[in-house]
Amino acid sequence: MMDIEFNDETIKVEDIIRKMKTELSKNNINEDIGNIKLPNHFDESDRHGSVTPELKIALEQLNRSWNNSIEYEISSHRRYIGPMIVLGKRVVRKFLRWYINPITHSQAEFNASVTRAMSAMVKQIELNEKSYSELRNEMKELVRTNEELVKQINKMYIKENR
Amino acid sequence: MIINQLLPAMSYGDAVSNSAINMQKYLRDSGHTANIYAEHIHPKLTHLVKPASKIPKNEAVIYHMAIGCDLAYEIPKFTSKRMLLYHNVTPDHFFRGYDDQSADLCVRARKELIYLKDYMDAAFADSSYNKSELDELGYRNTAVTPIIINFEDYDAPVHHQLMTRLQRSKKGTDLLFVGRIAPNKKQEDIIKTFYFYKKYFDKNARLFLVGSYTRMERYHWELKELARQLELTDVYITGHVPFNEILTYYKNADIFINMSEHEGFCVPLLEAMKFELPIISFKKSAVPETLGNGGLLVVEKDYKSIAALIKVVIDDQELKNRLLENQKQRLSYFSKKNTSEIFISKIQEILTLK
Repeated sequence: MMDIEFNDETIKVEDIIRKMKTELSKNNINEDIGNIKLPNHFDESDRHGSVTPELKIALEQLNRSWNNSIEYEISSHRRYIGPMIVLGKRVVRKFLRWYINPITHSQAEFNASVTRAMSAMVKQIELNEKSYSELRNEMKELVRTNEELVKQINKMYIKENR
Repeated sequence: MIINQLLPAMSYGDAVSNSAINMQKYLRDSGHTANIYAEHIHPKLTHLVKPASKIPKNEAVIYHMAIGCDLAYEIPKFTSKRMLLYHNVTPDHFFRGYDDQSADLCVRARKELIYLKDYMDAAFADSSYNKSELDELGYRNTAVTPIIINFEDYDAPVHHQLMTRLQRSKKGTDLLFVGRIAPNKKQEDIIKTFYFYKKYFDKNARLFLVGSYTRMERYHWELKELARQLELTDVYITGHVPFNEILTYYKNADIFINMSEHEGFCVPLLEAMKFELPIISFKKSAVPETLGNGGLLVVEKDYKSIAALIKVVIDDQELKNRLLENQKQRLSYFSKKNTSEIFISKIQEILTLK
């Protein structure tokens, strides 16, 4: 049973713990979820891959800010005439919606396309890196095999010429 | 005397920014001329704050530090009294993989904190926890000046429709945590505790995690996935909400749960006290100091035991009343009158130093 701290002499911590134990035993709780880790959205390779930190940060900022909402909270810091100013601003916003909405909608669509394209590019970079890595390993293997073959050919040559 | 405040950013509704505004007020009430300057200014605060580039360097300055910023390297150029107000810097490892830019800023901030030590005439901190970091680095004339909070702001009206909705749908215990969705605040541990509470103690319970997840979208996704994996319903992650909705969630809730592993002060604990919510909190960093003798502290994250503790607190009226009484007493220490007096007296001490 874990420790708790309660800085009050009128109530004993032992009593609280006793009540906790009673609650736990009443419900007979056997399961333990302490080892359940947070689900990781990204592989470790996402954190240590070929994409530079600057590119990752830029992508995060794009994902965060592509959708500019025009429905932001209207407020005023003025104490007495503030509510009237807020009402006035809301009226103006309502009357301008017909003009502003199509423009912001187009902008949001463009932003979304750019964000998707960037995400796809980053994904492609990572896939390319994976392919390069595989190719590099294959090449290493071929170089090693080649060296072995050269050694064997040299041995045979020496043997024949004795 | 002119005493200016300099901040990397003045954000709207942020505890540090609100505290700066309050400090300005009390400095002016004490007869000083006081202005606030910042590198980044929220559009709603442009009438209160001036750009950092305009700050006069021949006047006294209080530099607020919570994140890395090039402004730190301007401090040696100030020719009058230089004071630091340290709000703590989150260790960067909490943000790595979630928001590397913020993580890098935290690393920078730590370096700047070391750099500034030789240039400050005094260094204030929101808590003894923060002060101890300054003392370890060798800062001179350190002192604790708790955050100044306008508690009367919390008496504002709630969001009526949201309140009606919450109350009409309420069938069990409503658990609450208010704070940015961020890895250091460990909302995943609150979710795991809630899992046991809902499954074994109160199937009608709900969990509200109120706070912005801007820049922490990945962590937000992970929390939602965790709730899905645990087959949990009734976990509500609200994102950024207006102030009156925050008040509504506080007024509706039955208990406040905190599992954070790094806090320089933790203003939401005081907010929970103000709204008379019993508090159960993990004992780490500045949390025990802020809670004082209020709240119940747990020293280990044994989720099922914490869930049982919640059940005990909810059911035991005598224990709950003692908790609330202690919290009320503790809250009085952080009254605006007391914290502003502490702040002004510390400032006066430094100004009289040669």
